Amino acid sequence: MPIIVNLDVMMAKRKMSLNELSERVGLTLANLSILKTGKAKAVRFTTLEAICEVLECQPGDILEYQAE
Amino acid sequence: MNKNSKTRTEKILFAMKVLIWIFFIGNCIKTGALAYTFFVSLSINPNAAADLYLGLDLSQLLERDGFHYSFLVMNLIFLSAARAFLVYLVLKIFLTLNLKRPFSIEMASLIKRISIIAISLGFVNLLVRAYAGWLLGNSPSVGYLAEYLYGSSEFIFFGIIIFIIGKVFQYGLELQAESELTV
Repeated sequence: MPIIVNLDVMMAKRKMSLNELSERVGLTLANLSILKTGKAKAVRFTTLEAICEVLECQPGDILEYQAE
Repeated sequence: MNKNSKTRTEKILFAMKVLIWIFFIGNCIKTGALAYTFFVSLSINPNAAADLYLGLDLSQLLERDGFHYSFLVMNLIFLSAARAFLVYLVLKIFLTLNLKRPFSIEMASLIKRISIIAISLGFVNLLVRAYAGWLLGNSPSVGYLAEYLYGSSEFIFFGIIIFIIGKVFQYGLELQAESELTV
């Protein structure tokens, strides 16, 4: 898929573990894992909002488009 | 789904499961009895053809033509077994149904199989009914046979409806997969 999820990059920048992010965002580890590995088919605005709030970033920092 | 409606659904499903078990056992008994009396009528005592199962009298046909008798009764046994198998597949739906995750590939394939078998059963039923009509003409045995060759058009109609439901189910399966990958 040409949409790349850069969640791991943002987590590394903020020095935050997946467990901590999962607790603070209120998502299960399994769901966060799906998002991180790029297997997700859709992201809810509420999820994106919570992630951006916790990681103090913009949606564009997490999602990126790369032509195939 | 709230708790009350969930309990009600579970009760309805349980009642349906019991009913389907009864249908299944009934059909198995009917198939077994037909097969047994057919075997007895051919190999031990031809008088058994006078009461194959619950008054089904094909003794005149046996006296007239053994081949047609065997072919007709084998078709009746096949139809009865196919009906039992159809009921078994419906029962399997109830046994594998998971209300928390109702859409599964297994369930979709079961629904598809049920629809195909029901439609085929309807057509075979039609053919056997026509064959029995040709064979027995106005003999009173046709009246007995009506009980065994019922509902061909109903089976076809049922099969088509189930096929359409199967297609909707397939779409539900895709939606469920998408929903599971939505975070």
